[in-house]
Amino acid sequence: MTLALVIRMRGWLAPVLLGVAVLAVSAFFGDVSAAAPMADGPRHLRHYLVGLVPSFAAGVLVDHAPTISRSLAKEAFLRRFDLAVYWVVAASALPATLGPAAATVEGRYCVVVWLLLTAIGVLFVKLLASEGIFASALLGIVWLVFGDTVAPLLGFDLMAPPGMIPLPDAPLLGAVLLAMACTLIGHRISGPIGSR
Amino acid sequence: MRGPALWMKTTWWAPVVFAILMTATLLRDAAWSRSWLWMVSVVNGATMLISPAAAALTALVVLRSWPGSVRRQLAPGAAFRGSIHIATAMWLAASATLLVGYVAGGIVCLTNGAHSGAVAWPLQPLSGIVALVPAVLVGALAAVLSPSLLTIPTVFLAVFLVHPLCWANQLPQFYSPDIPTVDMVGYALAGPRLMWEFIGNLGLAGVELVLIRLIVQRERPSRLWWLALLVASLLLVTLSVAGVMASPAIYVPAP
Repeated sequence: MTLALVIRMRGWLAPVLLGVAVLAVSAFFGDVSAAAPMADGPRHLRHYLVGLVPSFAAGVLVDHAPTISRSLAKEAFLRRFDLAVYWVVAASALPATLGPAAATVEGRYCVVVWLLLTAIGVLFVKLLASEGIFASALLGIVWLVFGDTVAPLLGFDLMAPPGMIPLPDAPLLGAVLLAMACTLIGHRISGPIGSR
Repeated sequence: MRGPALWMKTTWWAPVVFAILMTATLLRDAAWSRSWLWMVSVVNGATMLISPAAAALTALVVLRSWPGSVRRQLAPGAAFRGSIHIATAMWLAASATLLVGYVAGGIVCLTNGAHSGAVAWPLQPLSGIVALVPAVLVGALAAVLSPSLLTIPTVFLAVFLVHPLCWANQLPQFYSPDIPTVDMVGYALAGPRLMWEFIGNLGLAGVELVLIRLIVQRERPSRLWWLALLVASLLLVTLSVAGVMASPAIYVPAP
């Protein structure tokens, strides 16, 4: 009873249902070709998922009553759970880039970008609330269009023939550390700018 | 214009977002600096990113600052006008960004001695600005239809995907005209198709306007001309689709 109320008030249901749907698409249709306007290379459904699922999951991070929620019982626990729901829903985009694809430069690049977009999404939404969701979606679309141009800046050579060069591990490690830092900092931010 | 001006003041950061997208589009491939026609197409084609962003921003501002809880306390007309003022403010900001893009592109073309090409006056330079009208209105429509935070990324993605869908199905290019990938020297945009796309975008905007009015007003339209506007707009969209299917060529040899 209380659980149903909590789920409704925290807005967990819609993102979790979305995550289940995304999981099915991600597991079976990640390689479907999906051309993006203006994109500087071929795009597949997995690129759409990596770029945009974080912004769809970000709704759970918005604090709808920032001025009173800090005084609510169990708020700290629920906020931690919000972050967990966010990361789990965002992770539903991952199956398309894991497995054999993760052993390629392009697959590894997608995993790193997913980590970066999800981590930055935490800060965006915690600091800017609904504008943060927009910023997160904007970043995802911009990556979708200009991803090939950005890849060398992050240390990925998408043009390299498979197996010829070792996969870069430093960007992955950096992205994991950034994701942990953003999540920990995001948990400490108590409301969007202007609410205090 | 007082309403849109007030909303432009509270959303001063929207032109910054549009300017970033315009800059990214212009810097993506600087080959357009050889041709005026290409430059105009690239500035208009920046709406492939600016239209989805403008739609999502309109949805965001309506959701946050003009939600149902506010609208229900106002007279239906005032509630409707507020939504349209927000969309107008976003349209003005995005159109101003396109004009700044023309100035910047024009300076680059002048300094590079670009060949004039065959810019289809006066429709082609206006095609991006007209395509932005249905884009901002669909954002407002989505926000009054579905008051949820998920609406923001959904509208962004949906408007972004309309372009490839229209392209693949030979439909009029709603929300954003296309960018040529090579220098179309010796060619010009086909006038009839350009006109049909104008009509289609305006018709789409009319449909969205009437739908917003019907949803926000929460009662049967008291005046017949709202129904007439809906029918006329649907007719324009149908004519536009038929016209583009009848003459699908985008480029014709320059006169």
